[in-house]
Amino acid sequence: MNATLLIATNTLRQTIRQRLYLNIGVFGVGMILLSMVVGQITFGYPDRVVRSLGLSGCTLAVDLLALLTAVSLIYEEIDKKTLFVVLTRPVDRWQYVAGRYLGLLLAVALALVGFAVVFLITLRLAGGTLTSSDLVALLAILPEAAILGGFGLVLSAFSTPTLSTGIGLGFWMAAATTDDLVGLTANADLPLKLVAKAAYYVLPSFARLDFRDAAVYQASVAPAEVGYSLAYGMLYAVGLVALASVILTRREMV
Amino acid sequence: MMTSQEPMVRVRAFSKTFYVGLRRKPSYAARDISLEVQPGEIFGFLGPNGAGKTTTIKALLGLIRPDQGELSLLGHAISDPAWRARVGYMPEHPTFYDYLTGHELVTWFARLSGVNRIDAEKEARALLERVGLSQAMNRRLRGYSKGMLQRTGLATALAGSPSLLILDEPMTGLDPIGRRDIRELIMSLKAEGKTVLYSTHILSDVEMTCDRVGIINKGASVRTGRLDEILGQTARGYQVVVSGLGPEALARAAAEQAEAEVREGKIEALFTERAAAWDFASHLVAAGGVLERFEPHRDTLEGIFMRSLATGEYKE
Repeated sequence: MNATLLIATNTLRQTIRQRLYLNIGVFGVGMILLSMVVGQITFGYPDRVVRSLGLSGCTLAVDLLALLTAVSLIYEEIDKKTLFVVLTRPVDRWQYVAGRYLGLLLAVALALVGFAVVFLITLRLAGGTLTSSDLVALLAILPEAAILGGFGLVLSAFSTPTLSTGIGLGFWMAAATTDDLVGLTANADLPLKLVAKAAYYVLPSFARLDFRDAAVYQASVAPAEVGYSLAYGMLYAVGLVALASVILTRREMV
Repeated sequence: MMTSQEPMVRVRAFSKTFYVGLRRKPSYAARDISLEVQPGEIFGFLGPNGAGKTTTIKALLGLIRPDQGELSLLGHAISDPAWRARVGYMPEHPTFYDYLTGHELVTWFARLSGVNRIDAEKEARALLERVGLSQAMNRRLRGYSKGMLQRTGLATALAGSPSLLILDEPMTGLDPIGRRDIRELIMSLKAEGKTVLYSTHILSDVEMTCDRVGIINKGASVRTGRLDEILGQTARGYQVVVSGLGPEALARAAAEQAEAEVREGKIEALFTERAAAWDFASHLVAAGGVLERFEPHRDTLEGIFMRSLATGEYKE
């Protein structure tokens, strides 16, 4: 097995044995189950409520898991000097970063599968049936989490987990509102417009990865649109991982 | 490609400056460090805290970039990754993945060095037995004591059968038994033909294990050489030991010499000049004493180390 896969399997094992993984798992399952309770006390369309709240709960939990895990993935290894020993083996720094990221993605995907199962059961209990738009909405959570995980990894290559978490949450909120930025600053002064425009092009757009409305209202989604969104998310994430590799390659292990 | 004469480790005129704080204040971690470690020897890398030992080791392992100097491992430049599968490293106070067992960890590192899974598992078991962790190898590392982690670090460094071991303060934090075990392990590695470079503050360990030493201070090499040569070159005078005299004669003789003391019915005296030592010994023998010892008085490594740091007199 090559070094990247060895590091990935170790990172997967590390992530799923952490208390954070369990805590966010409980939080996500709680959010999905809560959707059923709210669906029962809401007049009409309990399955819509389950879809809306349940999918939002899944997204929130998976995104949080990706970001909070990623911000310490490299930093803690430098802090504990474990990375020093790893890098004296036949492992390139980019392989290390790629392995850490791949392991994180696997752990996040595993959590997403778990949440999807709970969501499906909840939906059935609320009288709904699983449709292709539900699956698309669930699947689209992964590229969003991949971007957040990639951004967390970039921060982790040079910053402390606490600071990285703050910056990461800001990035998350900005990415969720990117599409609104240009509209909101349409009548603003030129400098502000330019800043909004720059943010629009630089930051990812999570709106393009959000298919929850389509799932709630059972609207069909064109396969090309799904493919484009997934490719967009994954490419953005790959760019972030490459950036993290460059930072770590240039960094001195003091 | 390494030739038989080529050193396993070569550092020539290494310097490194870190820039700290917002004002980028320079901190000179290494100014002029040179050393060579030959195949099959145990090399002790000595220096006080902040002398530049860890900085040099990190530069050797490619963890930091040297500002100046030529560094190589096993005949390869540091930038060439060819040395990596053949070098084992243990940092000071090693910390590992505490959710893994000792066996899982060492297996993982062996596999990172290119060993296949089955052989890596076997090797991990053998290495953990060798460092005295056979009973604890299936326990998670979070339950290990500091000494056990140190031993695990050594097993990890040995994973993949490297021919060169670089150990940063391997005895730090160990009790006397643990230190003895590590010393014996290092000696056994030499017997297997492996080369060991280790940094330490514990001079008695160096005296017991090392073939050669390098002393650095304030980022510069102060002295490098064979341990027996260093100790042999620094005779501080001559020691005379005479027994068989009565208490009064002993007391009188001791009073005549500034550096003399009576111990267990013998007088032990130190002289800077050989002739003076010989006159003293002859006088006591003529008075009925028995000459037990007349030999050059060798310095201890600690004495050499302390004076080297204080005066820089041995700078080469």
